[in-house]
Amino acid sequence: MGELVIGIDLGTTNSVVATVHGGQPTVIPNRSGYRLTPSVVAMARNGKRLVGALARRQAVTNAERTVVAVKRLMGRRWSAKTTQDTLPRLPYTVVAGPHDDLRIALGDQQYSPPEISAMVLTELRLDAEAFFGEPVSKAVITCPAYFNDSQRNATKDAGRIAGLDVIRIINEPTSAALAYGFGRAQAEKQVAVFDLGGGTFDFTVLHMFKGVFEVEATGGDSLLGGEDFDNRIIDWLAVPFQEKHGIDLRKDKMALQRLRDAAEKAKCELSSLKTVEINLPFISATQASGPLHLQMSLTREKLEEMTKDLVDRCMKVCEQVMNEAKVHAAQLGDVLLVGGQTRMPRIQEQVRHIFGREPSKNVNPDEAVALGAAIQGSMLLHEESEMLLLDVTPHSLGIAIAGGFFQKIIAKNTTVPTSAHHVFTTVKDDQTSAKITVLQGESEISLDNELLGEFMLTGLRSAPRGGVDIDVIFDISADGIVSVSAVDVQTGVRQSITVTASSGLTEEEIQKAALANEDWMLGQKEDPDFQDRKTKAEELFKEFEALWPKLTRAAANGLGQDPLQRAQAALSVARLQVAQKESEGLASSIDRLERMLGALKGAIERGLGGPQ
Amino acid sequence: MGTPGAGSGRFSALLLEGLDHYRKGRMLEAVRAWEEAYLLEPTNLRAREFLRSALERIHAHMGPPSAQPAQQETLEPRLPAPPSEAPAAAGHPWLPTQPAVVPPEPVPPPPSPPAQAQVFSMPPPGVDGEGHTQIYQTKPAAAVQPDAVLSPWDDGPSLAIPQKEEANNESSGAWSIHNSQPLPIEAVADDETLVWMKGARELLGLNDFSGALELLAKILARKPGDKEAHQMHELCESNLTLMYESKIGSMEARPRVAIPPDEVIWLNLDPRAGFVLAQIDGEVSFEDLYAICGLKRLDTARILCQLLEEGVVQVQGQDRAVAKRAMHRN
Repeated sequence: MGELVIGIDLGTTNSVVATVHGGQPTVIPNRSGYRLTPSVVAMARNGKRLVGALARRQAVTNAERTVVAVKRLMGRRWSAKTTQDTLPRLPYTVVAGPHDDLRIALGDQQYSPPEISAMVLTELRLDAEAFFGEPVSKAVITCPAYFNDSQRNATKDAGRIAGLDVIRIINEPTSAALAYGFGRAQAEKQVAVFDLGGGTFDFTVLHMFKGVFEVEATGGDSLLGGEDFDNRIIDWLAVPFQEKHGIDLRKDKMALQRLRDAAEKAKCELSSLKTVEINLPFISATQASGPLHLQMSLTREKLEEMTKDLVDRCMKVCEQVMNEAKVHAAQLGDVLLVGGQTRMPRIQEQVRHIFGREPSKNVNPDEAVALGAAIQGSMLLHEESEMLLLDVTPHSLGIAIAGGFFQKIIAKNTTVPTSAHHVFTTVKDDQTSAKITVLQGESEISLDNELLGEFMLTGLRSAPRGGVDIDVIFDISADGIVSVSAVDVQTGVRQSITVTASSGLTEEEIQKAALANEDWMLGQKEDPDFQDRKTKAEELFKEFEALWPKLTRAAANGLGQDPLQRAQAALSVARLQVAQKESEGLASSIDRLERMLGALKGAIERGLGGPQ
Repeated sequence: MGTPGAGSGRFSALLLEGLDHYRKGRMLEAVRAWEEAYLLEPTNLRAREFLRSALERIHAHMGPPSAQPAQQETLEPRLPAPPSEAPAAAGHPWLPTQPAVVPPEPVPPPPSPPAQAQVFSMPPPGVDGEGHTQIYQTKPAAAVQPDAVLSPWDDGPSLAIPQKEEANNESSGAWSIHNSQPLPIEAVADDETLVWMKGARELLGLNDFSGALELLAKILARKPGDKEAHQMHELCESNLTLMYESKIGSMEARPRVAIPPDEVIWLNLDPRAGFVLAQIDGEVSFEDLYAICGLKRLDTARILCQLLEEGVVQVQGQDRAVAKRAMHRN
């Protein structure tokens, strides 16, 4: 087997890992057998770190120690308005980090968003290693098309912390389209990717030509996803219950967790069934009436009725993005459905209605992005060039200019590597220095854009206002590293900066987090002797169980209760050690139990066991 | 340890009730409560120990041993004979609140106790097990203040201190039910928690962790900062958890629901148990259930134990064991 590479769809709600196996892109099931792993990390009350399905299942009852949708915080600055807008919606505690970044309080520790994402990535890596039976280190990870450099870097850092060599970060719609186009002769066409995931909606128009994928337009609603559909069902279940019994189940964490699980299950089932029964016995109780059960029937029609506005919001976004890109539905070659929520028949109908065509069914909506990433990883690793994937700048790049405005130098969606320059002049008489503030974004107002870095160009010759020309040059390498230079055209004085978009973590912090993660992984690995000891202990448990009636008789016949009580205590301790995987302690317990068993058998043989 | 569930709740309640009576000096009620507890769970060591200790203590305080040798024999506890085999009433020659200065007078016998309570049924106050009038006066009457209320088993000078009923109705002193040395009665009029703490220690000494836990919870509700109570509470919790977990078995086992979904509604569960049950899907291990249920480990263990005991959930390979337990219950 050659060098292994995996493709990872690191989603807001769910993540998927895939690979190209035997020439075919394949999703790697997790160690529980599921193809999707919830992007949820929790610190359970018993101190155990939970990742994936288990973390999700306790997300409501342990909300303050469960991190969901950390993707929304990746690469964000604490001081950014978008961050402050996001924080009130999060059930867990987020505090300011040391570099104007974020830290998430989880248990008695604080973690940066890349560290939390790394926990999910580590889980996926372990799944992949279990699948291959050997270590995996190389990965392609996807991110939304609108992610800026900081967010992409944060994703890359998360990969590094998880012990992965992230060979490329690619856009999710591009990845989905790659999966769609894999192995097929490609004609030039525009493709729309309709991605309705658990927590976000993204709509992207791609231009595909001879294996080249270019993002033409992208947009979405970061607060619209499958969970909103679930919430409608939860309300539909809870409101009548409240009217009847005066109890708001949404305020009871345990009840809400059950409602959420049931709502999601019902929603999924209604993609193929017309009606589902929702039964939640013992959901609550009152003094007067005792236990209360919730039993209701939900039809697909009712679900469509109560989520109509959500579907309409999706369609509105599609229209806006297409208008911006000046693309007509008739021009589109295909519409790809991505994200589990697109399985809802009503959404497929609406897509059909808006775009005037049947959405593509060649792509598994949950898996397309990860499969595309796996394909890209395989191509990069094996230097296959039949499908060249171009990276584009997700946002415009430029500098702040007088009056608080933003001057774009490189437009968004420009393929990289690229270079561009623009000449500016001084704004004051005898101005000897100029501050170059490098920004990223689309707003004309500099403050509304993302700060990438700044530097001073000093030693300018003395001249009247407008008398000094300064050439500002932007270079973006194939790796996405932005270099900005400013040159006094007349004197040749030059200053430059290399903008390495930061995830908020320093190199030292990343290394430290990676080591901590590695330690954790080592801690997870079982003592190789544990399984043998566990088997031995379980044999002893059975032997004691079989012997117990005789021992009880022996106790009555003169042996006394004391040896039995001591044996019982030793058995309890050993059982706990098995449960807690305390390999060393279990070894001593086994010795002890064996000695006890020998002595007790001897006592029985000496006739203390009474009639057989 | 009792079987979790309604029976276990009743059992614990009776033990506590008995303890409460015991501390307040209402020995008759205490013994009756423990008798009932004993009848509920005849194999339970706690109930037997309570009764045995109580009877021993009563016996020890019945006056100079030399004066009543025969009586001592009649007071020998008959435990642990099963209730159905026990002889009816030998009687306890003991009167809880008889003032020492008042000569005992024959009083009408109390109403007949229920049939199952006959094992340790009491003789009429003032009359011993063989029909003899008891003499309670163990010290000169002059040494006792006129309005002092004494119990026959109280032999210290502190008994002479008059205690107003309304102010001390909860404070008749703590008894050691397993210590052979008589304990002085503590004045705890202004702090019930001392009595509870003493009771908790006693229960802990008898390995009655659930009983001790109830008392400790009451103490901590009043004194949240009580370090000793916290330590004992933790100890009880960890012991109880260990006991439940030893019944549950391997924490890596993955339980599944053993009854059809439409039968779940007929179970007797509370919402927390309903929640735990809803998390059981045959794929999640016991250990993971602890993590995802978000309850205290002890609560989860207790509920899981209950669900296993009642055959609501099963673990592969343990089906027969569950069936066997169910057969025993029936």
